[in-house]
Amino acid sequence: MDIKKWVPWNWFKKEEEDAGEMLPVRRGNAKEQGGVPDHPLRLFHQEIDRLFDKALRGFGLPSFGLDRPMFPRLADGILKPTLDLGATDKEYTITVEIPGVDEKDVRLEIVNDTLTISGEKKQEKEEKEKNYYRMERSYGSFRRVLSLPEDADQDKVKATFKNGVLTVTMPRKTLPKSDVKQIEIKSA
Amino acid sequence: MTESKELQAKAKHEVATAGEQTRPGPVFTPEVDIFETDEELTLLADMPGVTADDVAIDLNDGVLTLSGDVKPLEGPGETDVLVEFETGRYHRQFALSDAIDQDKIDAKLEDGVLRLTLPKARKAVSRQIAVKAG
Repeated sequence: MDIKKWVPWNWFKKEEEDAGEMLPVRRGNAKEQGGVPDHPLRLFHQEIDRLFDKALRGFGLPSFGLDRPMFPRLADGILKPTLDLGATDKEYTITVEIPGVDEKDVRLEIVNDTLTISGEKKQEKEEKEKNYYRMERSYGSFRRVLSLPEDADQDKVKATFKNGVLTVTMPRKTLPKSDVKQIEIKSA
Repeated sequence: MTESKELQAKAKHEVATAGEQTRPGPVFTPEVDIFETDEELTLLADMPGVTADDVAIDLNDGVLTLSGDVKPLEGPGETDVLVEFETGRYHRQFALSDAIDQDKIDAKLEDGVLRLTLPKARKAVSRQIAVKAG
């Protein structure tokens, strides 16, 4: 049995390492995997997440709870726009909501199987001087880091930006079957 | 946080609108910035995913209603791997005072941001009259 199929790929492995931050429970994992129950270690992972969260709150730091804002800020003040991730048999689709960001200000990089989406949401300079009644929108640098699964074809990544939504598509390639090595057991 | 004028990031709020919805699906309040100059008020609303055709701006009895439809981004046969944001309608209302010249409201949509320019009515604009020396 290929255990890998049972464990959902952790797209945020690198991001979590970088930020020391844990993400909330992914919704409906078991259901979307076709009724396959979650991997037991995943629950363990989530429990650690919860404890970590609790510890943070203990220090008076904000919790990374489930009612996350649209643009949460990382500890270093960097915005973390929300993203949706979908998959078909042929490709992965990542969509990120970054309204008000200029196409030129978005950067996509792939280094060591890690896709980094970064950029800056600029506040127009003249607007800074004006008399504000309300300020609800967020400005600043943003970044998301995604660890790409093995079957994502990194050479054929495409990105479009439309109406404030960035869409990144990655074709999925068929992986060469891993060689099965039979190990002989010698009787002593 | 770093800048004094910068507010905390807010959630993409799901709201119950005044009117009952005829279609199922979540409704969100777009985040807005509103600022003023001597001649006009400018309103910027973050509405990622809407196209110019799907935005409706309605002015009725001094109430400005912004709404926008977002088509689901998912293609056919796609399974969600991870969902951090949901798409739905945007809806928000503002009461406008008489000080706004309601006939001259201008709207632009760019990169998912709706920019509304609300010019002030003539009488509300303070005019300085230069005094010429005789």
